[in-house]
Amino acid sequence: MSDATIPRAVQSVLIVEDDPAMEAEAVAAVAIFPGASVRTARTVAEAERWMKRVSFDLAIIDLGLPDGSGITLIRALMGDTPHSADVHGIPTVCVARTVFDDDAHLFAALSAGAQGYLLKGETIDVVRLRLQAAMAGEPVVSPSIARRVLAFFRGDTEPVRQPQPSRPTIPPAALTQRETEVLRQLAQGHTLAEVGRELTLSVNTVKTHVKNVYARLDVSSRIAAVDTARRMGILDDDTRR
Amino acid sequence: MRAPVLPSARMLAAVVACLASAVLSTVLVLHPPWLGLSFEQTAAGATLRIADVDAGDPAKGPQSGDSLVAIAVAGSSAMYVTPRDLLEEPDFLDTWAEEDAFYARQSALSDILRAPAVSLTLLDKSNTMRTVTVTPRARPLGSLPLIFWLQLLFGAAGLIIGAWVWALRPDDWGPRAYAITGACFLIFAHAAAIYSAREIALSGSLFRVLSAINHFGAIHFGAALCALFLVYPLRLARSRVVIGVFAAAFVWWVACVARLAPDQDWGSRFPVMIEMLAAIGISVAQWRRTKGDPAARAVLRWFAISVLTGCGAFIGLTALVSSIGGLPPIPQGYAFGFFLLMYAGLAVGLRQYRVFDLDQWAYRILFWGILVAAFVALDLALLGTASAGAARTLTIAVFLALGTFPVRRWVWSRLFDRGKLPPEQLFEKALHVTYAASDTERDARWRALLLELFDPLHAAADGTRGGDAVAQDVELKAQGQELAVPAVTSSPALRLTYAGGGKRLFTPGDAQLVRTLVSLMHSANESRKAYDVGVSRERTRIARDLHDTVSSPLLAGLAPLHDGETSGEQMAAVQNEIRRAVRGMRSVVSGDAVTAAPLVECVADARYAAVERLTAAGLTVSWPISDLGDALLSPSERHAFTAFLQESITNVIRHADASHVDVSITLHDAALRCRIADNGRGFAPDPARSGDGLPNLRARAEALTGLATVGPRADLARGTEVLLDARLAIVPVAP
Repeated sequence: MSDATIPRAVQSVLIVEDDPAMEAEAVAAVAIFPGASVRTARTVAEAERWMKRVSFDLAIIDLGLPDGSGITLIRALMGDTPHSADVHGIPTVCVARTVFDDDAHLFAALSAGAQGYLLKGETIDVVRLRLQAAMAGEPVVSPSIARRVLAFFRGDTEPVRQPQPSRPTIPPAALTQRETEVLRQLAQGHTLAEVGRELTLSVNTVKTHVKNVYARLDVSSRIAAVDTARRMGILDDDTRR
Repeated sequence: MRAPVLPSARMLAAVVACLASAVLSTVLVLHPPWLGLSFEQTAAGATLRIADVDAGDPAKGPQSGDSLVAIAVAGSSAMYVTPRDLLEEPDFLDTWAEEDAFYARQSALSDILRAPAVSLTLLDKSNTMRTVTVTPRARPLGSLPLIFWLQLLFGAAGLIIGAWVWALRPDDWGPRAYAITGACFLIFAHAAAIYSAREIALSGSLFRVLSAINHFGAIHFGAALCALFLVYPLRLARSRVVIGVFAAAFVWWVACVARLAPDQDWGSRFPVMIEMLAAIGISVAQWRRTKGDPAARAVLRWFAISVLTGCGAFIGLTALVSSIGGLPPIPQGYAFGFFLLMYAGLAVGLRQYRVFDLDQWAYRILFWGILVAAFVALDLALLGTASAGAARTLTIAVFLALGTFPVRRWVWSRLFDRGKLPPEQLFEKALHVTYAASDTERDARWRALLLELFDPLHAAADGTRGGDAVAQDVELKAQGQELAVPAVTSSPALRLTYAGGGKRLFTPGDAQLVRTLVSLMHSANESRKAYDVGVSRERTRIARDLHDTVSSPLLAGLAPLHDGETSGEQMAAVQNEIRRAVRGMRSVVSGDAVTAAPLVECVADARYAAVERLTAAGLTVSWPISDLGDALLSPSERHAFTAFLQESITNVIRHADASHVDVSITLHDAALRCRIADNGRGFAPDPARSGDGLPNLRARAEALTGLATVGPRADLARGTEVLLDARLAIVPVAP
């Protein structure tokens, strides 16, 4: 787990956004990272072309793009081992951008590995705060997301409503006592710092708990996806062949 | 109560009768020993010219082109054979004496042919006489002439088409009379087929019996024709009169057989012609009576034309010609084909007119009958060929039987084993019907479902037949021949007739099934209506929500822009309104405005958003989380509450010039209290300052049936305090 307290230097930013006005707003927001070079893309395909050539520290990705979903870009940027600094280097910090803050959109983005999200129409101050938090490795946990994660691990709901419905057939790994406590606090509207004070934990520990939960969420939904793919005959059952 | 007979049973009976008659005719015609000769059709001339010889001895036997002069039991005196001995139909003779002589000669010739060896006196092309001896043998099936088979076929077609109509309308005199014509046609055609296909002779007594049968058929055919026009399309006579017609015909036939009539004319030709004239007369009467009833008249016209041309052509060609002393220009066997006009006419007319109240649906049972007949006939033919003995024909027969097996099975399964609907699909089907897009579509799907389930021959809206009450409940009628289905959703009450394509009766199980379906449909329909109402309510709700949460902020934001000159203050207000609109849109889309939500969650969401915004603006927040129990906020309360907090926070950020905010939200019973206090420059009511949201706050409080107060802070020398005191409409759930 990377040290979340030291903000990362931002040298290269990718903004994927099909709406020119929204693109301009994002460009203005990333001005808080002085000296960063900013590349913009209007489609998934264009973004993928950039991603082949340049490695990015930060990517601000609109979820609804003309030729597909930004979720696929997040997945591509996170590589195969999300949420971890690995041998390939430090993965891009992804921030999802969307008009609607419904759980289906945000949950999908977060479980794909997004560090944060931006709602279109927020003030530029809030946008900058979110970007800084994301670069500082602070996970985004709104109360509604925390509630939904809790419900998911209780087995009440599907994690994500994705284009391919992937209903988990195996129950997700249970949350630890601590993780549950952290999520409950967050669900009541507490900030990460407040949760730390309330539970006498360091802020970093709280962040680590949240990231662990997200990582497990992602793994759970991936297992479910693989399971679905196998049932649909897309993947071969390699234990039999 | 008499158990009902199914149309298929009647059809089957007719098919069996046809086949039995055909088999009997074939057996009778094959029975006399056979010389293997066929003769040229020369009505005139003194000798019988041989047209063809079957398997004759090429050197010694009779040759094609020879003329047969006489036959004899080998070693006895010979008997001359004349073309008149080959007369197709004894009715062509004019007097009883001629007929008796004819039968006597037939008996004598027949006796000779029964001898083990027959000598034939032949005259070859060079007029040289010679005598050959031939051994008569069993006549093979293949030697029977085309005209024989045609007569069998014509007769069978008449009976099957007649029986078809009767099978579906057995209680009406019209179809009954029509079916009798078909039966009589078969009788006289098959009888004639036998004697007309003889090689040279039949025994006189058999010939006489067959002729009598032929007369029976002909005379009663005419009677049935009269009866038909007496009752159809309009009923001109009572049943007693109709039966009287048949009785008269029977008496005349007896008189003819007993030779009480002076001659052939009076015995068989005149009655048939009289009947024909009577039929024409009655149809003219029908024509008059159907004036003003175009439907009946259309049927009559079609019917009369097909019947009278068919019969008229035959009688004109045979009976009339022979009564004036001539011989028919074409063999009678072919002329029988004219009768088919009247049967084909009906079969075709059904496509256009409701002849006998039947409609296109009736064809199915006809085709079924024909198919059954065709298959059985094929089997009999194969059997006949096989019994001829040769191994080769047996192989072909077996091969054919096996080859047609898949075809039969396919046809049979199409006709008989219509798949039954698994019960688990019923609900799905009922829903499919109920959720059709339109009433018409729903009606169509309902009818399609009933057809799929029961495959009735006929399905029509109930109450179209006069006198029948429209069914209120599912009911079996006419001992299961009909099933009455009540009106369901958009469909009228229906009456299904003859289940399983006319091959089975409706059962109480069927009635129960329909009852279940109807009740499923009723409840599904209720759900659908509720759903429709729900959709419409939801649409109203979304419209209202959009108006409240999106339109009004947008319009409010638009207002300051009208002036042209816009201050920075006003711009900020515009931005604020637009953000409100976007947030409002989110809540409409997420459906937050639909269900009641726990107060705890609303507070948590508001707190998170407020803390984030205040932090971004550089303020610190103190917002202790207090116990809010299980209180719920209604959608409108939630909207007002969230907006109240958002706008209060906006005011602090924009106007207060504060560095810290204290927020508390408490609940005692249903009393909700919100306090937002800052440490800014304090409250200075300024009516000139627009966009501060104070009227908004009051409106939110109003929506929460509460009061909002804005004033200087009580516990601090500086700063502003916003208070909301509201009463929640939804009482907390008792713990």
